[in-house]
Amino acid sequence: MIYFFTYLIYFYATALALFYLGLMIMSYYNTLRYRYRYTEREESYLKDFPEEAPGISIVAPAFNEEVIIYDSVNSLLNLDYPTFEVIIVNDGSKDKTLDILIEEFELEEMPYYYAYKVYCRPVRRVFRSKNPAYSKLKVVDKENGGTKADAMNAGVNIAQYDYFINTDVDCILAEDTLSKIILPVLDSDKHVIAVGATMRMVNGCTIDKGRITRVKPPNRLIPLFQETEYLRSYLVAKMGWSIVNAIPNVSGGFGLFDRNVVVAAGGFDSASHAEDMDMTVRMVAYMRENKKAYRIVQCPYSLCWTEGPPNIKVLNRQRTRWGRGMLQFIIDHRKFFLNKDYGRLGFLVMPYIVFFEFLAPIIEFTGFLFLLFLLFTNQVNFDTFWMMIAYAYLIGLSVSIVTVSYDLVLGKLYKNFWEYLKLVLFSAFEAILYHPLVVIFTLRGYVQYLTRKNFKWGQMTRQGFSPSKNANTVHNNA
Amino acid sequence: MYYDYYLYYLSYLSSLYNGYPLIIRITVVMVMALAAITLFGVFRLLYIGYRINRKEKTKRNTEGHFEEKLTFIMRSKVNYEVDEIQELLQYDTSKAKRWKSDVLTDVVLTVKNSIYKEGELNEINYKNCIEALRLMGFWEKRIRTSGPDRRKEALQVVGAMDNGVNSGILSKSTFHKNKHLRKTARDLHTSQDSYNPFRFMEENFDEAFTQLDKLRLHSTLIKRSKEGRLPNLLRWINNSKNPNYIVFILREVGFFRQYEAAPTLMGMLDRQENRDVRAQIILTLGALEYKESASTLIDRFHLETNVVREAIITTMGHLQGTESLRFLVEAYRSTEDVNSKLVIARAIKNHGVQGNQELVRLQHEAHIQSNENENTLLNQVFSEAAILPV
Repeated sequence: MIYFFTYLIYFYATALALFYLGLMIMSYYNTLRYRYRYTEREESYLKDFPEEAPGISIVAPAFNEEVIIYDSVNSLLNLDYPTFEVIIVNDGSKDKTLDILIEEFELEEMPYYYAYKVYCRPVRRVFRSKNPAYSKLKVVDKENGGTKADAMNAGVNIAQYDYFINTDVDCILAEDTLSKIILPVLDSDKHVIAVGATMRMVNGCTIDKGRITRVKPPNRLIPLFQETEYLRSYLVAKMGWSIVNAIPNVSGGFGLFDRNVVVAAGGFDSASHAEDMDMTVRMVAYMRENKKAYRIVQCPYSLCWTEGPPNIKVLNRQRTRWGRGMLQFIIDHRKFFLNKDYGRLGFLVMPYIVFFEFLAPIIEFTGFLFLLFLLFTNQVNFDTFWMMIAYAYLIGLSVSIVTVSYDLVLGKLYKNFWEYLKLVLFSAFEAILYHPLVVIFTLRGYVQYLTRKNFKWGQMTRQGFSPSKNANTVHNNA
Repeated sequence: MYYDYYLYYLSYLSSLYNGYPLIIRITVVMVMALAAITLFGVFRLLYIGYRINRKEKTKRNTEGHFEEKLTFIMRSKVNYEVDEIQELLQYDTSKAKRWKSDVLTDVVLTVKNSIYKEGELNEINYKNCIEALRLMGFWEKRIRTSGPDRRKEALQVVGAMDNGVNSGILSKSTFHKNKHLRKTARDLHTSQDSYNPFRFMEENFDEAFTQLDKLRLHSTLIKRSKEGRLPNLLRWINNSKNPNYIVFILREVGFFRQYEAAPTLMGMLDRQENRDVRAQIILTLGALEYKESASTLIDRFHLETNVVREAIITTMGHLQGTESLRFLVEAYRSTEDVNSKLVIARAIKNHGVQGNQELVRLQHEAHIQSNENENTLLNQVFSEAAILPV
């Protein structure tokens, strides 16, 4: 039994290492290809011929976001793209979010025939601005639904363009986000149903009026580790998967979706704790069931900056929720697992999620305890113990370092080269200081889901984008 | 080199784990491989950083040396010869490093674009600058010798330079198996060739025709139209079986206002089986404001699919006649679909004062019938004009 378990853990780690090696090679090829394929020249077509640029709706739910709402909306309205609309869904905020929007953007209630194409809690009012400077803004005021999914559905119902961005008001988008994210849609001979892009941490960046003026790596440890973690996930995993059209998840923080497919697939699921992954998979399932060709694409460029957990308490909340979401997702969508009718979804995406995302924390945790047990019972010597630890450690470290170099290949975002080295240096401590916490919190999420504890949506301490504004603790439904 | 040393240390490492199970020995190899990847990653990162810094520095130096001089030459009303420009720029092309032309092209294009926007570009001096700096030769060589990705990039730069291109250099790329390279080359041919520029347009352009190609060709056709009148675009769809391409050409017919194409489009309407093509024919008729089509379109309305019906409604909004207004009002009354009602109401509103009067009448009817939904819908259409255009 001991031998069996030892071999199981060992081969799991080796499979993971080889798997990531494969993804690194695929993502490198894909990243270079992407960089050459979509240049500023392609983006300039959209700006030079605005009548030809497809419209994009940006949907951002807001629940008690009075600290950041003004800067956030301003930032969204100033994106550099000819045809877009910004839809802010006020999800029954109890603070002054709506009042600030009405006052600052000169909103006026407009009569609106609201069609419930996908389910959401009742919409009370729709606002538009009297001021032509804010003509792209729509505000939907609705009853609180308790989840981001419900608020997103309210925005999707009112979106007028074929593609929409799913984001949060605490995210800051790069000025050229829309032209970069729409290019793969325009350049595909297959129907592109979703596009993801790289997200980074806003903690540490210098922001002026909702715009990032200087990109810097975060100063605090947890967001700094999370920055590397995000880069690994987007630049290695998703860019690698993108080659074989098997991206498992388009992030809920930032992603472009085909509105008609989202509506046809039933919209975002309010009951899901991982509404982004759930939506992505249901869209794929819809396309497969209707025998329609599709693609999900990953854009390697950093287009969205989000606030990372500033401390362990918030990290705990975030990861337990992700853990709950992961387990719920697997149980809800078990029918896709190894189901030949769903092609890649059944034979690639679902097995990957189950074996390398869901099982990883369980095997890491039990594997470490088991190794300690073997050491203390003298079944392995110290040389072997350290060899195994070094093996697990180097898998993470090597991927992190390669990821940072991929990021640099795409263009220098940090002003200083030393800031990249800072990411590399700290990634050496990630496995010791950060990763064990992530494993424990994720396992806690699994246990919470299995014991059906009363789940609460997390709280997030908003710092606000403008330095003059005070920090404020508000509920976060994102 | 040092082969014995490597062998010695490898043997030493191997001896350390002599007698251990195979699994441990494999782990040792894996750890060493991962350590090598980690080290390689660090060195690669340093190298990329070094290259980026060197390029930034070169760009700064090149800008410092050339920007002002190039601005002076390209803005000047006096035409300079190539030799004079070389003297003014103080640049010896025979001693120039190969990579410098890359950075120099960026600077030339940036200066050119900014002066062009101000409307003060001296085209002759600009072209002589390119010749004086031997930039075309550099990029043509890259087109001939590089791999597909870099070749595509070179083609785009040559397109942006807009200084003509030798068709012989393009021929290898216009039939390349890499579709992205092939399409870029074909677009460049259409944009720059002086002998038979529309060769690929007549041949369906490319079988892998995407939205992005539409944008590229749209840009090229605008450029060509500025140089001289475009031929009748409809002739390019005679041999095409690709609905995407046909829809694109039809849109361009409307965009370039080729009014003479309208009667032919009416004839095509009956022959086309593809609904997207039919819808685009109707939209193009609207863009051409071909009022004679109104009665034919009205007759077709009840037989068509939703996409085509929407196109008919939109076109009726453009045609703006009594006949079209009457038709739209009737269509509004007879439809139950909310989305269609919204499109029709907007088309009615396009008819100006008369359209607004009809909308008021429709709202009054809704009020009498206590139809709250319809009332809200019409209020929405009114408010779109009152608050802001949609």
